[in-house]
Amino acid sequence: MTVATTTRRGTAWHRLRRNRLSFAGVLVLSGVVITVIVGPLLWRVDPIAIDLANRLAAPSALHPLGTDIQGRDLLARILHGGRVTLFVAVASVVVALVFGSGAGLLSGFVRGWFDTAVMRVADVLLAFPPLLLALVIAAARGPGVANTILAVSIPALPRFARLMRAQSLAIREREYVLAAWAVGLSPLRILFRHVLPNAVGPVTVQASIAAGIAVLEVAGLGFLGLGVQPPSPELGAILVDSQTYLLQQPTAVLAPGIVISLSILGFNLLGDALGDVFDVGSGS
Amino acid sequence: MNGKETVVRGIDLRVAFRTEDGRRVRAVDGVDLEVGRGEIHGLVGESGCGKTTLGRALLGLVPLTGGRVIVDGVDIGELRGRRLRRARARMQMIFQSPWGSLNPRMRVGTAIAEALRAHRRVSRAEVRPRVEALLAMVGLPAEAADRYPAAFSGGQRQRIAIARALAVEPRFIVADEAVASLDVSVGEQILELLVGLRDRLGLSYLFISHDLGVVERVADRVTVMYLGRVVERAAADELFRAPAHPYTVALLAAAPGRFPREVRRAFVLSGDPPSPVDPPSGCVFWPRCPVGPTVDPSRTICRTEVPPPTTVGDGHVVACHFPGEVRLPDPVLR
Amino acid sequence: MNDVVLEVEDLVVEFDTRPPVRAVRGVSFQVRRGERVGIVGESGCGKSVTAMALLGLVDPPGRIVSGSVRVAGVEVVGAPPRELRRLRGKEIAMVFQDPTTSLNPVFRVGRQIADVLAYHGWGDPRTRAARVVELLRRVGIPDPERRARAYPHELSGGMRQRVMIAMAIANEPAIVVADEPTTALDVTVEAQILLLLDELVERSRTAVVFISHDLRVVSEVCDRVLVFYAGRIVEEGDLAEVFAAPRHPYTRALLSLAFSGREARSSIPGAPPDLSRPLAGCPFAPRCDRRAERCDREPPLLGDGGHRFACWYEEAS
Repeated sequence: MTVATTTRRGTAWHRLRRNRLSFAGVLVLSGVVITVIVGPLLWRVDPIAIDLANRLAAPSALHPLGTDIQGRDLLARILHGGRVTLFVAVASVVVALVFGSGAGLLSGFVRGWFDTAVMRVADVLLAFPPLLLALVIAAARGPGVANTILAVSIPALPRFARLMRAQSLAIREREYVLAAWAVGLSPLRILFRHVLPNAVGPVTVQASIAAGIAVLEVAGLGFLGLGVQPPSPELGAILVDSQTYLLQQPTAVLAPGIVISLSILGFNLLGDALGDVFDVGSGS
Repeated sequence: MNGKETVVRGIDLRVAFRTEDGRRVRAVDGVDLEVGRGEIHGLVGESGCGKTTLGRALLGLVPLTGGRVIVDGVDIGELRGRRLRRARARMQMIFQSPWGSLNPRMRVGTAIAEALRAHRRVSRAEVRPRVEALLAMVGLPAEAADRYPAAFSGGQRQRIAIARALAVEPRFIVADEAVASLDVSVGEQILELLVGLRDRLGLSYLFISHDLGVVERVADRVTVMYLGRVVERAAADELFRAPAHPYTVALLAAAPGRFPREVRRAFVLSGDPPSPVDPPSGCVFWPRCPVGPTVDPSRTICRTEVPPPTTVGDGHVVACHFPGEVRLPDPVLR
Repeated sequence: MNDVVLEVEDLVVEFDTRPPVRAVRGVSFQVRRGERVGIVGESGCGKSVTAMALLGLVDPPGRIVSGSVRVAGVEVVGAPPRELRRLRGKEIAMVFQDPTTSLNPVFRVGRQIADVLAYHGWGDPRTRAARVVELLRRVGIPDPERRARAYPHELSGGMRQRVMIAMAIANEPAIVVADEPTTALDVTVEAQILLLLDELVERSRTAVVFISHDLRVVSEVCDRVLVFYAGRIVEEGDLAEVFAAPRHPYTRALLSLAFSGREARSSIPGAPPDLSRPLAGCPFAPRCDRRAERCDREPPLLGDGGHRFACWYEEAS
């Protein structure tokens, strides 16, 4: 018998390598992620230690990016702030992914009243612009890490639910799912072993793109003072602080801006890359 | 039935759908069916005749809107939960597309093991040898268990699908166009495998196909469907030698390579099979029938009354008001 | 010999995939005016790739490595796109397997046929409209004036295939290539289309190259048959002659599978060879019940004459 020598993962990696732009995206994103995770461990300066004698210091060996208006080390603030922003953004996407696509998976699989209910809720959520909805939730719940995650994840729920439901609906009609019913497997097993693994592709792509949007929203809420609370550093909050002394200390605006842009770019390119890997669209 | 034990019996089976615009389609409209132990029962008809729906309805993969399915003397409709799943597993299905019927993200061995353990306690140590035995039964090497479906050709995948169906030790298998998407030489290998399994394990099949040549090759009895209803049923050699329903005659005449061109020209049906959304009244075949009211307007009965099943020979049943009027010459086999 | 409308010489087509696949491995044949030639073989035998090559439609990763295809005396291999577009529809037309995807869903079918006529400069708009109705009538579409204004989705599969055939014969090309034109249709509709093709050819001088996996279908419409296996022609001859006395073991097995009814038949063990590898001997040898030592070493050549076949065993006997 003839058997192909390449494994599934092997070909996926190959496809990723072939597209240089996607590959660059993955590199950029890993760069940002590694920097904000490892950075604070190496650059052990306290990001909230105030040093009024050194306000708005120019970049130097002691403070590579200079200091802010309260004399806090900007590099440390950006490393810690980036970590907070990225963590909150990724956490919101994970929450949206788990609950949104969970609901979508189930509603496509069982259909009936449950499906109708889930889809009506999704319709209502989709009726509001995501950022506005996030603002309303953040304003109502007050600032803080947990509330920011909630505010960013809820507007993202319906997209995951709809996408997953469409996948679930299509895959439940596949013959291998019929065959699983015929063999007499339990519905749960069919859902998790046969439908879910074949439905995740497009959702992971969506998750990656949503992560880019989430970074922007988390920073946006921080910028408006509705996000993560000071003194804990957060990129949006750093931006809003530093805009008042933009001309004296441009790095205080540029550096967080660059980190935000690179993360969004990285997540979007990763989304494209995942699209290639899962071959979203060709259905194989 | 020649006194043979009945494995599966469907009584007055009905399946209706609603189309998107809310119209009711009777895909299967009052079909009786009996398959005996060791029998290969051919089911033929054109697309939209309900043959696939009937096969799926027998297995409970499509909900029945009427009728009963009796397996080994037990009415499936009276079972619930685990017992229902177990009873249904006595019936298995092999699908047309060997590309669609295997989960692309599950190793072959896992898929078979999953079926093995669906209804029985099988210890971890026992699973692998049983999987390998099943693979051997369908002519595949033991290493096949460790690979994903993508690594196999169409014929090999169909063998895997058969192994998975056999894992639950079924008595009855619905083979829905099981060789239609395979090359002839590969399809023949699969047919040989299916017939061999019937002989070894005493399996019964409902063998659904649009290809009369394939059905003639393997079937013991044949049922012909048109627009959700059975129009004719007979032992295979009888049906292919002396079809009594004008639609069966037309199907046989249309099958490529059976008759000279002049015969085909004489018997070819005009028009397309009608849509089951809006079936004709009376006999559903009358608008295309070569001996019906479009040819002989005095035959109004065809348009008003559904023809009842009439016995025209030993086990030969035909649903036609004027059976046996259209006759075929003897086929010329090259 | 001046009535030869299609001449294929030593055609080799390769697909630059990983690994590269040599799908067509030196195919030569001729088709005369008004002749109906069937190409049969199983999937992967190179029949459809050959069909595409006839129209100059081999696209990357596919590539014509060598050989020549002459349609009505014009070389297709390496011809400029303009020349190819002129040939297609005018001298050579194609009918595909799936009439659903080969018609444009947003245009009325009459318009699509008229466009083919207009592209090749046939008449003016008014005569074209009349010609469209006449063509639809010729392919057996009832009420052609009304059907010309239908969109593809308003027609059944059989009707759509009739429209495709009308489009193919619109400019009365020298050759129509039909690739599995009835495979997607129901048996009774297939019979209608086969009879239609039969009648059309009888009434015109158009040659038909009919590609099918099914010998039974080919037997309905063809005068001559080419049997493809692993990218090569293994047998070629007059249909009646090949059917009565097949010389290649593969043809013999295919015939037995197609026509033996309930009788026992000889199935073919194994599978066709991997076309990404070179073939040293006869491509059919591993599956052949008459294989001899020589079969593994040297490829048998397709002989000459009206009934040709590539088999060492038959030559020896």
